[in-house]
Amino acid sequence: MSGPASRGLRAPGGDLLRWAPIRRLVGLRAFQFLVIVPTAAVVGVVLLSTAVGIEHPSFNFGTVFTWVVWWGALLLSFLVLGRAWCLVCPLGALGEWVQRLSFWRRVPYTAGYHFRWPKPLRNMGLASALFIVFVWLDNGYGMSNSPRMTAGLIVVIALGAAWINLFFERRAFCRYVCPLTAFIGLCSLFSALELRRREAGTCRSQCATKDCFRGNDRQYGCPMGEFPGGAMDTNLHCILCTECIKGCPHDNIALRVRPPGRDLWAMRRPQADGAVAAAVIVGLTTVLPLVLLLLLPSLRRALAGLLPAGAPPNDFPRLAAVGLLFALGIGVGLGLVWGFSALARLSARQAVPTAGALFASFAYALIPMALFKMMADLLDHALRTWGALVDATRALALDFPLNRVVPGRVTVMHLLGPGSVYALQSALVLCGLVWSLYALWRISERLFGDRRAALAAWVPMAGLCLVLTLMSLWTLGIGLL
Amino acid sequence: MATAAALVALTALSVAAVLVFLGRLPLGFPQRGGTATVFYVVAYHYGFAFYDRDLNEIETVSVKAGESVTLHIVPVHALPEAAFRQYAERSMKRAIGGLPAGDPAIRRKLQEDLDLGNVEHIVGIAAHPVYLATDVAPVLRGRPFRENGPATLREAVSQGDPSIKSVTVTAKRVGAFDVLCVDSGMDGAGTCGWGHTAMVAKGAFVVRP
Repeated sequence: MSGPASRGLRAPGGDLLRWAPIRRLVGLRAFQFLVIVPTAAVVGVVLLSTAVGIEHPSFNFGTVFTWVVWWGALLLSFLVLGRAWCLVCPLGALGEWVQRLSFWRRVPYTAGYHFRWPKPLRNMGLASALFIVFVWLDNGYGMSNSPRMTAGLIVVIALGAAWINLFFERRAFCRYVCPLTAFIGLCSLFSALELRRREAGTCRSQCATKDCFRGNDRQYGCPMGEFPGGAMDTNLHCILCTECIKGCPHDNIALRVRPPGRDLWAMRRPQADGAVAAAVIVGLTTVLPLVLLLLLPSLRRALAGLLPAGAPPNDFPRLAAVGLLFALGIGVGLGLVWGFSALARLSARQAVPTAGALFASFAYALIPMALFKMMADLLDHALRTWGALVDATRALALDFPLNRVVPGRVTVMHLLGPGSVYALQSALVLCGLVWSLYALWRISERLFGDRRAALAAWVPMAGLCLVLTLMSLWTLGIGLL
Repeated sequence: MATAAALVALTALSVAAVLVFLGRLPLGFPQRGGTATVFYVVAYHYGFAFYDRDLNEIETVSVKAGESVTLHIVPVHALPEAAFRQYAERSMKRAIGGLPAGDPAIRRKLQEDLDLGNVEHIVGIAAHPVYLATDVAPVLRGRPFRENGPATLREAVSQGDPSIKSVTVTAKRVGAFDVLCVDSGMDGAGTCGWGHTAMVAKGAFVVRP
């Protein structure tokens, strides 16, 4: 297609903002509010259903929707849309509304104290620790099977966002505290969508106001404290709120489609906190399942003699055993990534970059492996719990929106046999492996000017990827043996 | 001023959330007042027996639409072993899990469930907000059967045995609804074990217009 008529249908140069309907839509002051409203309505139903609805996890719409539909959609969204969930998240928005005293309008007065976030906490440490707690609540307490715990989680996150944003500036909660922010940010590096400045020169030489960061009397500055016109070169913290698009006086912000994963190797300043968080996620997704599978029963038995029993399945010995194995799994994950980074340096036979610098870069490249492993885990769950989605929706329809009634028997519906599920899971895991290997190669090429040294550094990291992939394939397939 | 208002509102919300978490502020929706018709339901391996308020056994629980009903769920493990066996004999007269009625394998499977500790049920009524988990572990105290407990159903009821759970519900939908054990995992097996899928009393909760 060519000519003026077709020009409006394509985004020239992959920049979606060159497409007039999208430009007009995101240019609306109320854009973010409008996309949050439907999500808020769904989250409202989910909260009501999980708080007062039936406690059977397969009949509780909120539980099934949260842990199958939302979690699955979140993982898939990373591939294409990056942090799009943060754009529509009503929990983070609640904190912002409390702070701004407005749903969408730029108002001159605000609530709260606007303190700066404490310097020692300006990293991913707290968010990573809370993500570990989040995963532990599922592995340990079975949060994804508990409607009440799911409701508790939603309430804690919503109130946490409101309290923190009342005291601290911008979206401090979303950037530094939300248990999912580190995970979502890192996985969004893989995304095929990026929001960046168009021309660096325009920002450097023509812009004195830096409205994308500071805001002006019509728009807010970046709520995440990023500077799209300056150093922002990854999706890590960009929640796609579109404030910078609306605020830029030079129309110099682009929303581009790009090859997936580009941030993983193209980021100019990989930070150690992000690398540690990435290694933690890798440990949680690849090492931990193996460790739990091999050691949980024996460790639980050993601890049963030392700790009070409690009521199964959340008895003290089990919770303590899961906690200890979490520490082991994460520790091994971190140790492996660090150790193989050191090995890569030895293998390259170059003094620079140091093992620490290699770790800080290489760890990000393992994100695709972790992301695709999580998708493989969810695939099995989704294919087995397909019937639950039907049951839960039926139960909700019978008693909307309280979801208190029993719809009947649990529908057991396996869409695919275990062998077919495993084949699909393996394909996903291998897909993650390929992306990680490619990202590692690009990083290695960037770090070592010499191609031979780059290859020498790549080989040990590729070996690590292979080992972790085999571990994943084994743990996923153990049920078939 | 706005900050103070936000602080007050957030404090109130947070206190309410903590009270709900501690169970001091119930979230349930209270049933309409007035007297309720009482029924007793014995949940056994693998079925249900229904009784009216005078403990006469009945085929179905039959109520009028709009009537308030209180169901007292009596897990069979509230009663002594002899009572358990008597109720279990009812299961022998039905085809269960692909086995024909009277097949000795049913008795073996039932014993296996007892040995595995599959003794709890979650009783539900289709299309009604009845979802009640039994909890016999405290009265069994690790033993396979109750000892020094009530000797009969009447005694258990009159003593208000702690293992009896109750629910009051207003029958709104007209029709015949299943009473069933609803707890099960994705493989279809429930906490009562092998015969879980047979644990359904078809159309046993009747709501008349």
